[in-house]
Amino acid sequence: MHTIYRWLLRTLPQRLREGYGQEMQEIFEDRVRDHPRPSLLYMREIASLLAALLRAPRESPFRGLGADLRAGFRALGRSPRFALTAGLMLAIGIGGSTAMFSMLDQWILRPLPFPAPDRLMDLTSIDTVRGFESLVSAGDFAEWQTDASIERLAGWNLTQFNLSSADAEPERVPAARVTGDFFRVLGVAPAIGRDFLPEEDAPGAPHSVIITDELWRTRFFGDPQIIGRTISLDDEPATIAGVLPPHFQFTLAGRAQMFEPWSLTLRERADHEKHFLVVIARRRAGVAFERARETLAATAKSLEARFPASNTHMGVRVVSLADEVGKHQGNQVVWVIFGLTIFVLLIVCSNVANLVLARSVERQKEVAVRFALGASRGRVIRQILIENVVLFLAAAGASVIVAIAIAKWISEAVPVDVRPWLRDYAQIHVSYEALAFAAALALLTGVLFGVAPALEGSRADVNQSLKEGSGRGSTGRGGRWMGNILVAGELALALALLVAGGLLITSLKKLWLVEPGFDPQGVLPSGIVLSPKRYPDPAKATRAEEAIVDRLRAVPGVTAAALSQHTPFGNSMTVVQFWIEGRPDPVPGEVPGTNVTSMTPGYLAAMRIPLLAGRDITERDDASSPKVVLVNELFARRQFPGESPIGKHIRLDSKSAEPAEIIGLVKNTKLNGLDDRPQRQAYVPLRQRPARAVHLVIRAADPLKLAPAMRASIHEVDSGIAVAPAKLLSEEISDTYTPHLITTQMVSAFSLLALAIAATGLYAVMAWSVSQRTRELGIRVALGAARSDVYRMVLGRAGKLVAVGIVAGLVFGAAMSRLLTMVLYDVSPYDPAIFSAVTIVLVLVALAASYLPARRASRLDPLVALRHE
Amino acid sequence: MQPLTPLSYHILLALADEDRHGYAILKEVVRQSQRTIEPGTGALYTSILRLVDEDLIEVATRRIGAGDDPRRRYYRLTPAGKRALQHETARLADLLMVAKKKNVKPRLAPLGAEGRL
Repeated sequence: MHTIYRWLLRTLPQRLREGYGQEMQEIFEDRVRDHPRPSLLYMREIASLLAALLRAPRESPFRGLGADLRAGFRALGRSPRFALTAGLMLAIGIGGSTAMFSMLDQWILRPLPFPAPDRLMDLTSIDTVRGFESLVSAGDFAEWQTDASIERLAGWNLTQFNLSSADAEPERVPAARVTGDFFRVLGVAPAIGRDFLPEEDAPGAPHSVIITDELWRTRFFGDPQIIGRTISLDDEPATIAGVLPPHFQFTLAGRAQMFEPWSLTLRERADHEKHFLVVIARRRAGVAFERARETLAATAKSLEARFPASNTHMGVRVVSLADEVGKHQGNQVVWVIFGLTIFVLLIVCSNVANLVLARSVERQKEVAVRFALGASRGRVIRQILIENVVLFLAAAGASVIVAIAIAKWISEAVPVDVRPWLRDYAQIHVSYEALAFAAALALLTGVLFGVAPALEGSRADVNQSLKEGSGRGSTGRGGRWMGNILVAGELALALALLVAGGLLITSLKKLWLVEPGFDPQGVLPSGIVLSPKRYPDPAKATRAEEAIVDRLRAVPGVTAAALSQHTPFGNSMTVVQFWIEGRPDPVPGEVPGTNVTSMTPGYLAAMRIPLLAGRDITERDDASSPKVVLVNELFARRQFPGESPIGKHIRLDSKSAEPAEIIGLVKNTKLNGLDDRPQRQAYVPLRQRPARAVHLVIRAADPLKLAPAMRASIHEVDSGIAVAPAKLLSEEISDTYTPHLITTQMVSAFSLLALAIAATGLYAVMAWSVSQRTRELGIRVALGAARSDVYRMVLGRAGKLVAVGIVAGLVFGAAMSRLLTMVLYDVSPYDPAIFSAVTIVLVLVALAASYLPARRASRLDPLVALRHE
Repeated sequence: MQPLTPLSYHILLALADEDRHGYAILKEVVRQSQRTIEPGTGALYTSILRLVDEDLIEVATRRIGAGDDPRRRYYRLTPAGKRALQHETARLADLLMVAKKKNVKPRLAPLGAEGRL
């Protein structure tokens, strides 16, 4: 990078360069050293240099630039067809790259919107032997707080509240519980009101909350007197302490609109068993990331020694917050797509270079005249180069429209519910940095891909060219050679893109065909919470929940209704440890865990989760009867390989819990994503394991129509229960693969575009070579060559190009598809079927592209051909 | 007298209290503008070149402090530069008075509101 900068400095006007160049280079290096994320700085610095260059007073190396620019425009105007085709292709190529760069810049390159973001880290517990990550126990959290590298530490997790106030219907609001230092770790202060006070995360303190600007505007109509107002959260009074600034976004917490202080009791702070915290931290200033990793690892080691029962093999995984955010929003995919767009741009550029090359041959006479009139070779090269740069810059201008359109398309393709989890709510703005990027790209590619044709074009022999009447000179060997390389390169890149597109489409198709283990069509889930304040007795909560289900069953149109603590794709889960009766206790750190959900009878039927063996739960499985549990296939296969799980007993939650008999075996269901690996699942009767936060599900032909009736049924039982907006289960599922879908659509569109461009490139080269060889072909036909011989000659030449392109493209595609591994589902990145299929497609298209010129060659009338100049 | 560009004004202002070298000017400009101006190196030197041409700043011939970096070139205000700075400051102050008379209230961004601090 420093070398590139030095090189760019040399293009500056002499006075600036000689007077200050050395200093500028030093400052550039200083800034790179001091900047937390230098990549953005590079762009800015280069844009700044270009601006300095353009604003420079007219001096020797740039004298005549204006005249050349004008001449460039005139020359393009003289061949509008060339200018339009090349310009349009370039606009698409540069525009696509610019849109992708905007995305890259906004989501990845830009530091997180918090002060000193490089000191923010995300800490997770990790099983050092098996590599599983888990949430953090409050005990570990309390110990990490004393680590020497840590300035501040905060734990948090997502939750939801029933928000009710005197003037409006209760509402389910996504929220986060955070320990007191949360906003101080991030370095954000409320725009109105205050941050949490130290005493507010003490147990038993009166509730206070900080809300987002959005909630303040929508629910409280931007009331300026909001601070100090009392609202009701899960039927507990809480005071609004602050409103966050409008631009505040903590993507890991997604939709959270309220932040409530999380008071950890002394008992919790000494507990290393229960893992429920997500932890963020701010490193002390001056402490390197690696150093923090070391001290935290040492802290974890000492915890292992002090608490062997809970902390054996329990390490800490330290990553920068930016990386964690990036992992969650799929930064790698963004990089891959960005890389692919650059491919498209390369194809476009080589195609345009080819056109320029062809044109420079036609212009040999003009060039010869310039030489004859005393122009130096340098001046002629510059003239041709400037024409290219003008073309590329004009295309860059048009590309802004393309870029904005693509950015808008991506922004809108992201479902509303997914947006809060992405930076800037997935809204991509084509920024000034991105425009600078487009301009820089246009200049760079314009020069890069213009140099070769310019050198070629300026090699005219004055006498030879001027003598030729028609102005159509014979090209040098170099020109043809270069054109061939460019076309083979285009074909190779297009093939690599086709491979990527093919892999992604296959992967998406497989994802669509995944059996989720239940039937989501016609299912409408709805989360509700029965607060402990209103329902202090868990059995009373269960009765109310059952009353709601009964009412729902009676609603006309509802074919099935039931309730479960967690539903697939419901964004919540409970994982507990379990022990099998009659087996020795596993050693600490090896106790297995399982997902568990409480449900009412009829839940499996309503979801159409198949029961494979045993029986479903019934109303008789209540608090007074023996405990029962259903497990899924994976649970059975892992824990009871080769035998039936039915009749076995397990203890859930703790070693001392009452054992539950396994009465049924059900199919595995996908829980969070269609590409999930199966997990152990256990289903228990709600009456035996009450839950206050539950999901109602109804099945109906058109369940969305029944949403108001559903709401009414709930409110008949208790008007204080908030109901979340209705969203179909099938929609929840499709939201999870939207990133896949967008990636696939984009890459497929790119690869088709690339194929089309490469095909036109091949056509142009073949057509041109046929026209160059007209006389030769005519002689051959006159001497008795058959039509098929001519076909063979022309197609054989094309075949050589295509063969070179395919070999290079397959190697390239294989290297690139490795990068796609993480977004592929159930497809090998080297899938031979896909590689051969896209190769066939490319061959067919190439054949079609070279067939037309070959046919023209074969139909040559030797008499006409021989007269041809 | 022509109004100065914001960057030129900031460079003069950065040199008002002490002579500085290029990188120090840059950092001071960023600091005193509260990050609203963060010039690229190219823009900075285009302005410095112009200010030297207009004889508003010059290369300092003698070093002042012990903490100075002897390898760097230090810039200082010329008498004309000081006058230009005063003129421009007066012009801005006048503008502020006009705004006050028209009852235009400054809107202060809350801390952290701009996202990037």
